[in-house]
Amino acid sequence: MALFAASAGAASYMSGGIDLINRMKSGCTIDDVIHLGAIPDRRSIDLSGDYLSLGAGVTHDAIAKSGLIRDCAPSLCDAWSPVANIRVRMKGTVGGNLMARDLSYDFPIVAIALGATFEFVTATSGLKQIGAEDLDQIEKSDLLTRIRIPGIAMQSMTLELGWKPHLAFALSFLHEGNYVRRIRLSAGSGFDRFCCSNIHLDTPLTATSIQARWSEFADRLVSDLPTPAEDWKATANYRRRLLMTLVGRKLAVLSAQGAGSNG
Amino acid sequence: MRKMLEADVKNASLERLDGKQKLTGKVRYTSDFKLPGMLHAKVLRSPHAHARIRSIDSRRARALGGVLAVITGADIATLPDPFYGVGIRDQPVLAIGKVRYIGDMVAAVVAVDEATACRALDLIAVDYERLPALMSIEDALDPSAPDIFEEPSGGSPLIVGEGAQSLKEPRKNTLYEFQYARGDAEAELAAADHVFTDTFHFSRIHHFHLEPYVNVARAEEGRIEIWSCNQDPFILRNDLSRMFGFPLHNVRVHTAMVGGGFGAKSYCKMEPLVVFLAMRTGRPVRLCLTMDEAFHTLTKHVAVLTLTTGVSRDGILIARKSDIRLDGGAYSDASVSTTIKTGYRITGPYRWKAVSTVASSVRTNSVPGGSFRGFGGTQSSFASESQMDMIARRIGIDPLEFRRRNLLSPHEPFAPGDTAIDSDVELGLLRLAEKVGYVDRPRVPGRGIGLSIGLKDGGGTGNQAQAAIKVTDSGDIIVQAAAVEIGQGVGTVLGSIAANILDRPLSAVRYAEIDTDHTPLDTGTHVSFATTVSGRAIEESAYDVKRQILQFAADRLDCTPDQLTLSDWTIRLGNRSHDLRSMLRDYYGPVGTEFVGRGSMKIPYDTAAPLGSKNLFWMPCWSAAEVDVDTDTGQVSVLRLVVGADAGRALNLAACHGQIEGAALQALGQSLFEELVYSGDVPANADPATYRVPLVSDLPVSFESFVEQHGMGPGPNGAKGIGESGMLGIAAAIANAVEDAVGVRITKLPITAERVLDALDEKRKAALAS
Amino acid sequence: MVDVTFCVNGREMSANVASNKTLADFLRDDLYLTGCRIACDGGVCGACTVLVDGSPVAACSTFAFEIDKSSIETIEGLAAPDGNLHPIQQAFLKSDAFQCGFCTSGFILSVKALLEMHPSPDDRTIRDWLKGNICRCTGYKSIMDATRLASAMMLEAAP
Repeated sequence: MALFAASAGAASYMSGGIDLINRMKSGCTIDDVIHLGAIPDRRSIDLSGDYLSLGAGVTHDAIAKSGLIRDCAPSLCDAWSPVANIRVRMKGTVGGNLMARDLSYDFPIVAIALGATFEFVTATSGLKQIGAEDLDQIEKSDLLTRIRIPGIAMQSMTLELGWKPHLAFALSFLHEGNYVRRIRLSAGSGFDRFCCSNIHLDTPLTATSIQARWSEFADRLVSDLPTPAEDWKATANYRRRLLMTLVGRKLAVLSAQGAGSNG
Repeated sequence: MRKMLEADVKNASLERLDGKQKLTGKVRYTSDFKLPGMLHAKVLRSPHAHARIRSIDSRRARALGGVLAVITGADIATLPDPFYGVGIRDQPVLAIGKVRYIGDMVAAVVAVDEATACRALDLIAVDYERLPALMSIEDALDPSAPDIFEEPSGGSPLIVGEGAQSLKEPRKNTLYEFQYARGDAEAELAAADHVFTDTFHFSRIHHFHLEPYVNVARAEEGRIEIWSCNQDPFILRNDLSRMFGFPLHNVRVHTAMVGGGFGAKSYCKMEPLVVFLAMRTGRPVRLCLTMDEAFHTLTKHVAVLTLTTGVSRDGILIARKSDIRLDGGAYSDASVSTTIKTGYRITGPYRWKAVSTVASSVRTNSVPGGSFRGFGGTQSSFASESQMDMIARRIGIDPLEFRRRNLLSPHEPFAPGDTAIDSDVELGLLRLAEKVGYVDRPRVPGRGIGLSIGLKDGGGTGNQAQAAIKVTDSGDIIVQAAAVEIGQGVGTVLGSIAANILDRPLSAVRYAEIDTDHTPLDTGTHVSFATTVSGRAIEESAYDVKRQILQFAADRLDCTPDQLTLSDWTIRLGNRSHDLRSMLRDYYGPVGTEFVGRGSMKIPYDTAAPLGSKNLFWMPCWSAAEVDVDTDTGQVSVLRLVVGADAGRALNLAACHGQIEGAALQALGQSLFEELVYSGDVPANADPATYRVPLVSDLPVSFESFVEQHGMGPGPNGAKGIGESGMLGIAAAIANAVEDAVGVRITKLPITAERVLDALDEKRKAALAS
Repeated sequence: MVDVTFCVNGREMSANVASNKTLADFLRDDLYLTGCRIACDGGVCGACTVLVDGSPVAACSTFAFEIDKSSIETIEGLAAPDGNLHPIQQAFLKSDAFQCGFCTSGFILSVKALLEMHPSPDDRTIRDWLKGNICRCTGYKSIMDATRLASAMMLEAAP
C-alpha cells in the first residue's frame, strides 16, 4: 500500500499478471509494478468455523484441486474446475479475476452467488469489508486481501459458463437440513453489470418441491434481474428467454441431496 | 474414364520434409528474420469509416527521439504508381486524400524500435472531415449515397470469354460486375413447371492466420529486396516493379515458409509501404502487424445471392437466374476475380438448359474482402446447395435423389467451351450418403442429416508454373519452385514427384527456399494449383534431368540411352550395374557436377471458354452433417461431420485428409458462430480475445474425412488439388440438416441459436394460424 | 532492470532483464529460442506456450522477471541431444498433426504438461487441456490422434 502511494507515476498491483500485461500492451503507462506474489498468506485456503476463507492470491487451479474445498463445498470445486483454460487456471488468481472489473470474467458471479464478502486494505481507512455485490467500491489503490464465504457448508451452487458470450450465470441454494431456504441467481456476461436476484422461501421447500415448480421459480428469478444486454451477439429478448430456459432446466433436475452437493 | 487406384491408397502417405523442422521449433519464418541495422515501422490507421483527410501534422512525431521518418499519402503519391489491386487497382499504399474504412492505413512511422514507433503514432495529428459511412450493400447502392471513389480507378477488369461480360465500375459504388449467360433463361423460366426464388446471406470471416503479416525490406541504389510473408512472390515482384518503376530483375523477393495463409497473404498488401520506408530511411525496415491489424486488413466476402431456379415437376433442373452481390469492402484487392468465380460457380455440378448470372462487387466502408480459401465457391455453394434441398422438399423429391437426377457426368463440360467435370460426382455422393447413413435414417425428434455437394474450379485462369531441379552427382535433389509452403505440404508433394521419377528416396530431396532471383516463376500459391500446375512442371524437370543422366551414361558406356535404366543412382546396362557417382566423378573431377532440369506448364488463354481459359480441374466437396437442434434454445449441435474430396491421385494421403479437415473445421466455425461483426460502422470483435474461432472443444464427436481418387485430374498420374475443397459444402450441409431436423430453413450465416429459435417461433405461429 | 537466475532446457543461466520485458521477447531476442512463436500476443491462442516449472504459460503474457528461480522448458529442449525426437514429437509426425507449424511448439509443450499430469487422459480431458491452443490449419483431429498416440507411446516406454 505504501509502495503504491509512494509511486511517483502510475502504479499497479500484480497478482497473476495476466491483466496487467494486457493493459501494458494496450498502451497503459505503468511506472511501478507491485508484485504481490511474495506476500505470505495470499495463497491460503482456510475453513474457520463456517467461513471459507480464500486469500486473494489463490489460483483457480488451487480451488479446483483443494481437498478442503472438495470436502466442505464440492459444488464450488466442480463449478470452478472448467473455467477459462489450463494456462489461466494455473496462473490466474481469484483476486486478479475480481479486480479486473471485466464482465466476461466469472469469479464475481460465484462470489455473489455464495454471498461472499471481500476484505481489503485501503490507504486511508485501513481494513474494510464489503459484500460481493459492492465490488465496485474497491478503489484501484486498495489491496484486496481475502474473500470470505459464510455458511459454506449450508450452500450449494451450479455455474453455467457454456453459453458465453451470450450468458454466464450461477444458481446457489441455501440449505437447512433437507430443505432449501433461499435460491439465488447471479449473472455477469450478457448483462451490463454483475447482478443477482433472490427467492427467500418463508417456508423452506424440499428439492423435489422446487423441482416441481421449476418454471415458476425460473420466471421469478429471471424477471427480477435487470434487462439483459442487447448487442451484436444477441438480443435482450433472446438472452432473457435463454436464461429462463437454462435456469429452468437446472431447477428441474435439482438433486434431493443436502447442503454442499451439486445443485 | 474411371480409374480407382485403390491399390496405391495404403502406401500413399509421406513423411513431410518440413516435419522435423516444425516439430523442433527450428523452422525460421519471416517473423524470425532480422537484418543488421534494421528499423521498425508502425502504421497509423483511420478511426473513421469514411472521411476526407484535411491535414496531417506529423511534426511532433518526427521530433520524437528515435524516430527516423514519418510518411503519409503525400509522400506515396510521388510513386510512379501508388495503387495496387488485382485487375482494378484502387488501393493506395497509404490513404491519399480520403480514408475509406476503419483501419485504412494513413501514415507510417519508422523508429529504432516498435515501442518508439508506437509512441510516435500518438503524436501524429490528423484532421478528418467525416463523411457518411456506407456499411452495407444497400446503403452503398442507395441513390443518395456519396461516392466512395470520386474518380475512376486505375487498372482494368479481368478478361473473360464466351458468354461472359466483365465490367469495370459499371455504376455508383460498384467496383465490378460479371455477367454470364447461355441459352434463354427468361423463356425457360417462363415455361418451367415450378420457379423458386430464394435469397441467401453469406457472412464475413477473417482468416486468423497465426503468423502475422510481416515484411522486411531493404533498398539500395536502383534495387529493392524484400523478405515477405506472402503467398505470391512473383506477383509481388511484378507489383513492386510497376509501382516503383524498377525493372523486374532489380526487385528481389524472398519467401520463407508461411505460418498460415488461407489467401490472406495473397497479392499485394502492405509490402510496397515497407519498401518505401526502406528507401526513405536508407536502412532495412521491418513492419510486423499485430493480429488486431490483420482483422483490419482482409476478410472473406460477404455475399447476398438471389437465385431464381426453374425446375420441372419431375425434378429436372431447367434454368437459373442469379443476382449476386458481394460486399467488396473499401478496396478492390481480389474482389474482381472473386466476383467472377462466385458468379460462374453458382450453377454447381448440375446440368442446365439455360443460365443467366449477374454478379457484382459493391464498395462499402468496411474491411476489404479478398482471397479466402474457397474464393467465391463457398458463397456460391452455400446458396446453390441450400436451394437444392429447399426445392427438393417443395416438390416432394428426396434431396439425394434430386441431386442424382441432375448431376453432370464425367464427360460433360461444366459449361460450353469449358472442361468437363473430372470427378465421378455421383460416386462421391453415394459414398457420402452411405458413410453418414442418409438413406433410411432413423427419425428422431430434433435430429437431422443434411448433405451437399460444394464445387469450385481449380488451377486458375491462365496460370503458369515453371520449375527447376538440381541433382548433385550423389543423387541429392534440390527442387526449385515458387509454390509457397503455407502448411499444405507442397514441398513434400513436389519433392515426391521428383524423387519418384529419379528413383531416389524422399529423404534425398530438399525443397529450396524461394528467392525470385533463383526460383523459377509462377503465378501464385492459390486456387489449389500447386499439385497440378507446379507438379507438371516438376515432372517435366525431372524427366529432363533423367534424360540428361541417361545421355551422359550412354556417352560413357558407348551405347544408346534407351538401353539403360536408372535405379536408385545406379545405371544398369543389361545385367551390369554402374555406380553413377563414380562415373560422374571420374569424368568431371573432384568437384563433380550438377544436372539441372527445367519444366513448365501454362494453362492457355482461350476466348471460347467463359472465363477466358478452360478450367484445369474441378473440386467437388461432398459434405454431410448430422445435427441435434435444441428446440427450446435453438442451439444447433453438430454431432457428426463427414467431408470428402477428390484428389485425383493422392500423392500424400495424410496431407489430403489434413487439408480437407482443416478447411471443413473453418467452415464449421463460420456456419455456427464465427463472424467478424460490424456494430454500426465499427468492427465489434476484431481482436483475438473476442473473435471466436473453432477450438478443439468444437470438434464434432464424429468427424470423418474421405479422399476419393478418381484418377481423372491433370496432374501427375491423374492428381489434382484439394486444398480448398473441404470448405465448400459445409454450410449448406448444416443448413440442410437443420431443416431435416426441425423443418426450419436458415438462409443467413451464421446459423445461430437465436436465428433458429426465431425461425421455430415463426413456424409455430404459422401452424397455429392455419 | 531486474536480475534473474533460472534454468532453461536444463542449462543454468542468469540475466539482467528490463522489468517490462515479456518472457516471449526474452526467449526469442535474448536467448535466440525462436521456437516460441508470437501470434495473438494476448494470451489467447497459446502459440507462445512454454513450460515454467512444468506448468504451461503464455510467454507473451508473462514478464521475464517472473521466471526468477524457475525452470523453463521450450520446444528446443525436447528432442534428445543426438537429435532423436521426443515421443510427443514423434507422435505429431506420425499423425501428421501439423501443417504450417506456427502453433506446433505451443501444442507440443501443452501436451507434455498434460501427459505429465494425466498420463492416460480420456478425450474429455484432452479437449479441456488443449482448448487453450488454437490451430487454424489441421482441424484438430490429427492433434487429438497425436496426443493419444503420444500417451500410448510414453506409457509403453515407462519403466
